[in-house]
Formats: sequence, structure tokens, C-alpha cells
Amino acid sequence: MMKATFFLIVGCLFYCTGTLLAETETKEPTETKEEKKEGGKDLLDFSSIKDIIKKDGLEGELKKKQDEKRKYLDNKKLQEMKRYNVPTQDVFWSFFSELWLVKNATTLKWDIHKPDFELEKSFTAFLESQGHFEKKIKILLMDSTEIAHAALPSNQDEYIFILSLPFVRTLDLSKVEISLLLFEDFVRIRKGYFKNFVLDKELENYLGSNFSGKPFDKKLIDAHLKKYNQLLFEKGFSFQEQFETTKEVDVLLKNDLKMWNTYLTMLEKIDNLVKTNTLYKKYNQIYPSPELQINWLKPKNSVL
Amino acid sequence: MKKIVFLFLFIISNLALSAEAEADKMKKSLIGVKYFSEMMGNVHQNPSRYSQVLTTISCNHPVKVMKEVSKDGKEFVLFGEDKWHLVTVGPYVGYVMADYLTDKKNECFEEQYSKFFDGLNLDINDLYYWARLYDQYVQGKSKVRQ
Repeated sequence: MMKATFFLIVGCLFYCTGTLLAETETKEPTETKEEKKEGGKDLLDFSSIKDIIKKDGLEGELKKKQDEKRKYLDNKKLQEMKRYNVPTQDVFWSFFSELWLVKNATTLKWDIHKPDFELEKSFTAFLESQGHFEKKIKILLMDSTEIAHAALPSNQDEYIFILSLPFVRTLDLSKVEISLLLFEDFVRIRKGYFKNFVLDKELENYLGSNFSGKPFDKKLIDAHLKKYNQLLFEKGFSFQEQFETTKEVDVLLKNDLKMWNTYLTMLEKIDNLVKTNTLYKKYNQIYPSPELQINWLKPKNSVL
Repeated sequence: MKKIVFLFLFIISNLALSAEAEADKMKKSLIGVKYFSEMMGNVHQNPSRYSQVLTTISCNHPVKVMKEVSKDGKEFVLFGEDKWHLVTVGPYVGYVMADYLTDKKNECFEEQYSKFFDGLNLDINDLYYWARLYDQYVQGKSKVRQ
């Protein structure tokens, strides 16, 4: 009996322990699940606060920074592109004429010591008397007879003149006569004959363009520099161009008869020189011709 | 002994004269910085277009414009028929035509059209003549209409 009671108690104890153990075992996995749930909740929370993060303006800031960078790079690219710009006609001509003077320095012999005639003063005064204001003039005296005198194409309200010192000295021209000679060139260049001769369609299209990604067209520039030589050393101006120039000078000087007479006398001097001095035999070819100019200027004898 | 005394006096008097000449020299002082406005140009030793060239400068090159003050306080800003400025360019002290200097930076052709200018392949001879061209030009401008 005692044995049976003992076994019953032990059995009960085992049962109770077993029940307790079973309870703890079943409880443990429930806790891990809850923990996992909590972890899962964390991930879910992050996605749910995405909208809140968006609202803090960081994405906008990033976009702004990206835009700024793009603008900076675009601007840099544009600046780099601009470096390949070909000058427009507004700024091209003075530069181009000076380039021609530089390239022909030894032929034209302008780098010399020369007396200060103060031609700039007398000529600007003459221009003012003719009603031409705010005109910038550059006069370059040369120790050459290759070209007697000329005005070169230049930018607006700017005029570049070249004048042969031997030509002036041989003719013993006064300041007024020199001013008249330069004025004739002034009128001629304003009529645009020189520019029109040099400027062809190809150069016109090239000016103001951009050569980024293309090689620089030096041949085009060189070819057009040669046109200066062609006009000033060989071809010269046409009879029509010379007639129009002379007639315009005639009209402009008519209101000052003394000046008009001085112009006529100067042309007679030049006519005489080119007929007698072989150094200036080409003059008639370039400016045809002083003799004709005199005829165009002189009033026609009316037959009664 | 007399000879030594004379020699001594001679040296002393020479030193005194040279010190006086030094004191007579004009004092140079800075007026401000100006910029060269043309394509190329020369800095001359004297205020004359034919005087020796010290150095060549290009458009927008900054130069320090100086004035000279004499012992009696007279100031000289323009030189040589009022056409030249006394300038300091790097190690050189020389003269540049006043007409070719501006207070503000200029729009220079070779800066605006740098690749076009480079493409011309101008050599040192060309640049020398370009600077000489601005020495040789006689320039003027007719007045504004009254």
C-alpha cells in the first residue's frame, strides 16, 4: 500500500512537471513569433515614413543641386563653344585690314621714322567742315610707291588710310591737298566698293559662324587677304566706281569753290605725275584715271 | 701732402654733387592701374614712338600708371607733348601712349575670338609688326556734332 501511494505521488509529480514543461515549451515559440512580428513591424514602419522623408525637402534639394550642376556644365560648354566663334562683320574688317598691313609690312615699308605732319588734325578738321562727326581715323604713312593712297575696309565709324610718303613729297602736296586726297578715299570706302570686292558669299557665310568641332579655315582667310593685294596692286577700281566717287566728291566740294579748285589742281598734279614718272605708271590702273576725273569735274562747254 | 688733401677735397666735392643730383631726381608715385586697349603695343624707353622698345604688351594687359613729382612739388602725369604715360610693366619702367590706356578692361578681339585668333598662327614677327603698327599710326577723331 505504501508502495502504491509512493508511486502515485511520484507519478503525480512527473505529471505536474511534464505539464509545466509542456507549457513552457509551447510558450517559447509564441514569444519568438512576437519578436519576429516586432522586427517585421520595423520594416513596415520605414516604408510608411517614406512620405514623411519626402516632405523634408531632401529630394527637392537633390534635384536643385542636379539642375545647378547641369546648368553649370551647359554654361561651361557654351563658353567653350563661344571660343570658336568667327567674328561678325561688325568687328571683322578693322582686324582684317590690320592683319593685311602686318603681313605686308615689308612690302609697304610703313615701319619707318617719319616727320610729324599732324595730318590727323588737319584731316579731322576737314571732316568736321564737311559734316562728318565722330569718325575715328588712323593714317599710316609708307615709304613705298607700290600704293599711292588708299582707305582700307574697317569697322563702323572707323577709317584706316595708307598714304605713300614719296608720293606726297614728289607732288609736294599741302595739308589741304592731302586732306582732299584722303577725303576721296573716304568717299570711295564709304561706297563699299572695296568691301564688296573682298566679301564673297563664302566669307559672308563664314563670318559670324562657329567652327567648334571643325578645323579652322585658314585657307579662306589667306585667300581673302590676297584679294586686298589683287585690288590694291593689280586690278584697282572700275571706271564706273571711279566716276561715282569723283562725282560725289564734286558735289560735296561744290559749296566751297576754293576747296573744289584745290581738288582740281591736285588731280592735275597727279595726272602730270603719272604721265611723266614711271614709278607711278600703275596709278592709272588702280584709280582710272586722273585725266578722266578732271574731265568729269570740268563743266561741259555749252554750244550756243 | 698737398696732393693728398686736394684729392680728398675732390672726392668729397664729387660725392656731394652726386648726392645733390640724386636729390634733384623726380620722385615717382603710383596713380593707378590702367589697361592696354589695342591688339598689341610697345612700352618705350622714352616718350617717343621711335624710342627703344622695352617690352611688348597685348590687349587688356594691366599697367601701373605713375606720376613724377619734382622737388618743388610739381606733378607730371603726361609726357612728350602730353601723349604718353609713365608706366611700370613687370620689371620695366617706360612709356605707353595715353590714348591706348583705359581705366576699365576692354572687349579684346583676341579674347572674344580666341580660337579664330589662334587659328591665324601669327608668328613673333607678325606680333612685333602689330605692336609697331600702333606706334606708327597717326590717329584722330572728328568732334561730336555741336
